[in-house]
Amino acid sequence: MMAMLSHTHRSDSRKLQMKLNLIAFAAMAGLLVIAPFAIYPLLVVQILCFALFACAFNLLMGFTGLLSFGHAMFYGWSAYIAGHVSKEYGATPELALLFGMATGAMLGLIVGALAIKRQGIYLAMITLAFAQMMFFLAVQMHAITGGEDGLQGIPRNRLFGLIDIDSTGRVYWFALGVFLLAFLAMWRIKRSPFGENLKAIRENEPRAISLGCNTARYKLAAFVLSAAFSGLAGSLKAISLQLATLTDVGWQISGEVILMTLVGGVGTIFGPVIGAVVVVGLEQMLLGFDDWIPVIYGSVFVLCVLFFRKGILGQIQHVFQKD
Amino acid sequence: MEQLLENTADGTAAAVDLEVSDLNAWYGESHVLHGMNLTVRKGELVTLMGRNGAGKSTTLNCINGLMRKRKGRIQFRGTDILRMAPERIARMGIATCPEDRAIFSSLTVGENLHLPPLLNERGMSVEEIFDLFPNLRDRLGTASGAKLSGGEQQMLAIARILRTGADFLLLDEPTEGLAPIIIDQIAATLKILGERGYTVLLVEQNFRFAQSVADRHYMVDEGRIVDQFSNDLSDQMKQKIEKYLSL
Amino acid sequence: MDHLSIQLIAGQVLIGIINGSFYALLALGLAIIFGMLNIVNFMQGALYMLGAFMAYIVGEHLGIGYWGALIVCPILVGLFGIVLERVFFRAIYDIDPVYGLLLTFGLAIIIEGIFRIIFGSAGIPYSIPDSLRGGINLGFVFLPYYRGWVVLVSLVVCLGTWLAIEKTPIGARLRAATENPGAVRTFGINVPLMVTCTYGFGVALAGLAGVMAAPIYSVSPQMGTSILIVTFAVVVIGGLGSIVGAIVAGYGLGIIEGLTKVFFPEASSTVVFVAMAIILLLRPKGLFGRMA
Ligand SMILES: Nc1ncnc2c1ncn2[C@@H]1O[C@H](COP(=O)(O)OP(=O)(O)O)[C@@H](O)[C@H]1O
Ligand SMILES: [Mg+2]
Repeated sequence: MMAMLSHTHRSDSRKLQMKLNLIAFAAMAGLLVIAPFAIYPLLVVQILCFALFACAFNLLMGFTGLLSFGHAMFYGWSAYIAGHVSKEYGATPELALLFGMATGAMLGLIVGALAIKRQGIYLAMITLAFAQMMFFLAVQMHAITGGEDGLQGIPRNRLFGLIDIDSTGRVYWFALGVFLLAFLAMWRIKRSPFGENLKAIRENEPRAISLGCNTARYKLAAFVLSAAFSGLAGSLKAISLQLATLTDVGWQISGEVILMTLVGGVGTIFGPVIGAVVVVGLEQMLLGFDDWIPVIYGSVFVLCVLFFRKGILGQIQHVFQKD
Repeated sequence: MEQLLENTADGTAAAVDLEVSDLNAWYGESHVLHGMNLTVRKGELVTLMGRNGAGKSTTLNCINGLMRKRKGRIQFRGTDILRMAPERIARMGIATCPEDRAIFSSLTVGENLHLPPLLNERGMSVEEIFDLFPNLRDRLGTASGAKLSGGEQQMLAIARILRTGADFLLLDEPTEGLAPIIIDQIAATLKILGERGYTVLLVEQNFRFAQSVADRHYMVDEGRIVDQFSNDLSDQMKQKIEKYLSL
Repeated sequence: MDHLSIQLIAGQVLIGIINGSFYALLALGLAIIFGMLNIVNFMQGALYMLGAFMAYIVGEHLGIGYWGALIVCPILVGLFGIVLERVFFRAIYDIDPVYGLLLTFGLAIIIEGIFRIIFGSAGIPYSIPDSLRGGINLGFVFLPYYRGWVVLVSLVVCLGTWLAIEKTPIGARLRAATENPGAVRTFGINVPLMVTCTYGFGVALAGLAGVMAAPIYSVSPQMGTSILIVTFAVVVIGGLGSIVGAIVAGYGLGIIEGLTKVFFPEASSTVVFVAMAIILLLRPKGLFGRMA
């Protein structure tokens, strides 16, 4: 009887899932619209950038099962490039974002092409090593990155050359718009045939290969997409917060984005957003005790890996699915 | 020591070495053994026969402790070993020759042979082992266990557990994929082991080979013992057995 | 080439060999641990740092000096590793090795963070033992005794470890357990205990490297992570899990780094990663890699 019902049951639960996701999206958008009235807007912008970054990371880890330990290179270098073109060439924000995304995509293509042949643990080590190389390059290439000082006071030029976004209030709406559009785009990617194939590869790669799927291509494409959206997050950060520094390309950021995704729930749609809120929230709570931040992050990491691998959202879904 | 006695087929009483009762086992969520019951007496050679996937190897891996998720009772010489770690079970005298033979490619043939530590002084000497398997003598210096032929690997896998002094052997399909001449050699070895008082639980699909060496047979299907009979009756049961073994 | 530049080259090659000594020790530890535990130990850098700080704490303050520290600290670091393995690793042996990396990453930043809270980020000076002060002029290069000592110890330890693993019965057990731990357990060999000891030994190597590094590099909480990331590249080049690969690539990359400093100084911090990219293109399994 279970077998007979399972098909309709499954499509029913899918519809329900979709409905829940739409409600969640509306709730998230609604919260974000009122957030700047309750919380300092630039703090929310920081959350949005991290959330976008974590969603991009999740595109790789959650949907393809590949762990990159070097996503800071996409985030950080895109921030530099977006900042650089805004500062030196007066590029409009949408152009700067495009440049940033392209930077991420290009780096992703190069690193991905070299690394994707190797799986699991190898991929993590290789990406970490390349990210470190990009960190050293950032230290050396003063002309673009500003070296130790980084890029400060990046101008917020007029959006499309027309709209002024140069105030805390205005830049918030700009960042929110970019975030929501990018979020929807990644959601759409997950639900597309491409996303379904990624899922098939993650669940059973040999089977996907035997069905004639060129899995290496798909993985590389996922890697590049993830890098591109990470680049979008980095450049959004550079423009909205007017800052791009070595911190953005350091290995700690690569660790932080893993932490956000892990805490929120790997592979879930909204998990990374929750993770970003939690991590930035922790940081705010520890303001003044900065020294303790790594210790707390490390402890959260350990707890998550040992007891809580599904993350907050994954755990909630698990409980509901049991009923 | 408390030892269970049970009547053998010919009416005499012999000590029970191994008693498995109501054994269940799982790989993750999939339930593969559904209440196995079997008994092996001291000095006996008993087979587990059945088609691929019946649960024979899983049963051996429950006995040697490798299988994680298992329930029921496994008594070995009066001790409950169900919850014991594999290395402790091994030190009680149970040795395994696994289906994949577990010859180590990063070890030389000599290292493979000397890998298992000695449990007592009752094991065979290297000379005795070379008498049983003369081919191994010349191959001792071979740089990697992986360079041996299938037959040589099988002999090595049996030889190295005879050195240790373990006297209860779990052999998982030792004849699989081997040439008839080598199968005969293994049969001869099993006869010698029987004379020396070893107890053997043998997993087999080769009925003729099993018939030539065993005292008793169990038929396994879908994780249960479905039939058992003494080797004396195996000729009459031939058709039935072949049905159990066929796909 | 004139006399001066030969001296320059020899000097940088020497520095390269010394750096390579540390890469090799750290990579060797990573390789041994990965072979047995299937975990890439992100803590290796933090435990190297721990070794250096212990040399400072135990050596300077408990008064046992450098030579005492050289023996005691690796043992203490090894024991600390054993405790961590027993407490934290059991839960993750059966799941994707990626979680092992994440777990050890978390532990590494905790350890590093605690040292930063206690000692701050600035470096702590630690002096070369009196008996190894000074040096000798070899004609083409001036060799400080201490650096020669470091290279010697590292070579002896690397070779000794390699011999122990490749040529002894204990080593045979280790290799066998790396291939098929279950089968080895059915011979009555306590593989879980071997795993714990292997981890202890692997991190003790990091501790030893740390003690030896204390007088050369500045002792600071962040000294571990940067060298660890370079070591990851070394391990990828040598072939993950290969003992020989770890040693050869460790020294080799040290020397290449030194030479780059002579001819193309701007690239000296990135050359290791470029080498990794080239190896990935030409020989994705690494120089001595066996595994997929
Ligand atoms: N590692 C494993 N993971 C999951 N299922 C397994 C595994 N090994 C065996 N099985 C399943 O358990 C059942 C019994 O297998 P096994 O004991 O190997 O059979 P036999 O040795 O009789 O051929 C089979 O259905 C097989 O598919
Ligand atoms: Mg089998």
